[in-house]
Amino acid sequence: MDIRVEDLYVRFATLSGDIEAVNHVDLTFSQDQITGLIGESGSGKSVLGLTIMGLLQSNATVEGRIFLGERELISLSEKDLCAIRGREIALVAQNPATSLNPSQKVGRQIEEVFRLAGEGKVDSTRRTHELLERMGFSDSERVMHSYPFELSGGMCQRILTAIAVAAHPRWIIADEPTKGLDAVVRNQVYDTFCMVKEQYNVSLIVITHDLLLARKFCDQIVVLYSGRVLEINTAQAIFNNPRHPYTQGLIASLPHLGMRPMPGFSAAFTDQPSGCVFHPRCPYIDEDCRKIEPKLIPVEEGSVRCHRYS
Amino acid sequence: MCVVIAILEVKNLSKTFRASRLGGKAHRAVENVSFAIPAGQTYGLMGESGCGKSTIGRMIVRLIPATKGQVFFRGADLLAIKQRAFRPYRRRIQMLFQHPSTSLNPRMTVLDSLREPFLLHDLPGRDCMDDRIREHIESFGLQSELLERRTSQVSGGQIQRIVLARIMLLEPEFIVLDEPTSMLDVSVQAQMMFLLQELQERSGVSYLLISHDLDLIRRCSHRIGIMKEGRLVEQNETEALFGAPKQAYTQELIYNFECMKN
Repeated sequence: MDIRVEDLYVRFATLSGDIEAVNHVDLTFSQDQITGLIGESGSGKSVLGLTIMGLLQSNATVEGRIFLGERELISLSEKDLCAIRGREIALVAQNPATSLNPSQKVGRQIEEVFRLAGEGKVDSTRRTHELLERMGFSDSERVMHSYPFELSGGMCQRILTAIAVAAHPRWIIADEPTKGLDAVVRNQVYDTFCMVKEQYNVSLIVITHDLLLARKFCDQIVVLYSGRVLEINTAQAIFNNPRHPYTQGLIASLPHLGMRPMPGFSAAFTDQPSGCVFHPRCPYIDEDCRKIEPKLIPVEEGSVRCHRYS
Repeated sequence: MCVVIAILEVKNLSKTFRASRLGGKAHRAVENVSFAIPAGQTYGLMGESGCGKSTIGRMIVRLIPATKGQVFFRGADLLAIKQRAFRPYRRRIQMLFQHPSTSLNPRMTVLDSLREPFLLHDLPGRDCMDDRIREHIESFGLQSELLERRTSQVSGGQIQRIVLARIMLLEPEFIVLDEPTSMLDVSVQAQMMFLLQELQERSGVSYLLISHDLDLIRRCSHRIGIMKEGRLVEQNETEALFGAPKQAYTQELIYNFECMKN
């Protein structure tokens, strides 16, 4: 079952005026592919994930439609959304240190998912054990009776993933699963996601600024900047033949590929440039770029939002 | 043979965290670590989370006391100096922290934060410090509109620049960079590291770069030390270390990084 995002706008009312965190996004996340959403902080990638989950804060207004199969999610009531969250689309939230309840043992936090699904206490405990073992914990008994602070960052990340897969959802949205983790732990997280994908037959959306993870793990990559989609393509095409100047800049910023910095910063949401949103930082700037906002233009397997390809 | 003069030399540095009164065991976070950093160069300290690399940085700037060992800065043993006499060294040895969100006081404006070095270290030109600050931050790619904002209203990448600008007002000779970019995006990381390298070329400042990112360390350091469970297992010139890693652990770390790239 695909997730289809149509004509989506997300606005937040703030003290310094309304800001548009997601601006006219049209996307299809197809069921048999892993999609990576990449972009720098403030590009709207986490907001897009939270919008799909219906978890935005109260100062947000959403316009547009999001379909899970035939069902439209934005118009659903909170009660209907609760039936979808966790069971059909689950979230692996950002930052395990703050996403787990610090005053509850992790076993109980996983059991809760089974209990909510209507299982008894004994069955829930048994299934939590099984799940932890599947997640690669050899001492599931000890882990169940640990508080989050007694486990390492990588282990907490795996616990969050366990909570997400517990109810066998069709979709998992993972928000920055490798942020701040070292290489060894990052590889473990990668292995866990590979296992989850195979054994649970789940589709994934990975929100990340870890470009290497995106390249290795994702089939399709969506590049976001200031709430807009700048480029969509296969992971291979994005890395071997990046078309948008921003994508090129991101890849050139990687330490092992030269670490050449892009000039400037992404524009503040309250002060968006006219024309192409990337033009103040673009090395190929043209007269059109300052005035006219480019459309998404189809190229081979993907599409790119840049006047150079029109 | 030319003799390289070390600006900072760490000798047999150790740190044991005592067991708490509630129980638990004493933890040996750092054991007998020795290395030297030549003036104007960057020494990269690399290891997994929890290997003790940040503890070393904190001991060097005396944020926490060392259990044993010495730290020589231009020949003076920093750890043997009395608190009051250490004060002039605080200006010459600075530290850039990992988390932008906790590096600055959220209730102060950016301008107030940048005034602090003038007030605390009695820098010359105090009466025209605001003008100096405005001029100074430009070379860090910061615009003067930022100065009126509270530090909680500024992005992570900009905060790291503000903190760096504040550090450079003091014209330090040595900076401990404790995971300066691990919370930043790759594009912002590249800008930040580029700026740090530019500063080094211009002012000859030396760095201890603490990071778990092998690619970053390789790109930015002259010499690298690999840490495992509190010990320095291997150190060498950057390309020599990557060309022929001697220890199995170093090979394993490099392998873990290459894994992600293939």
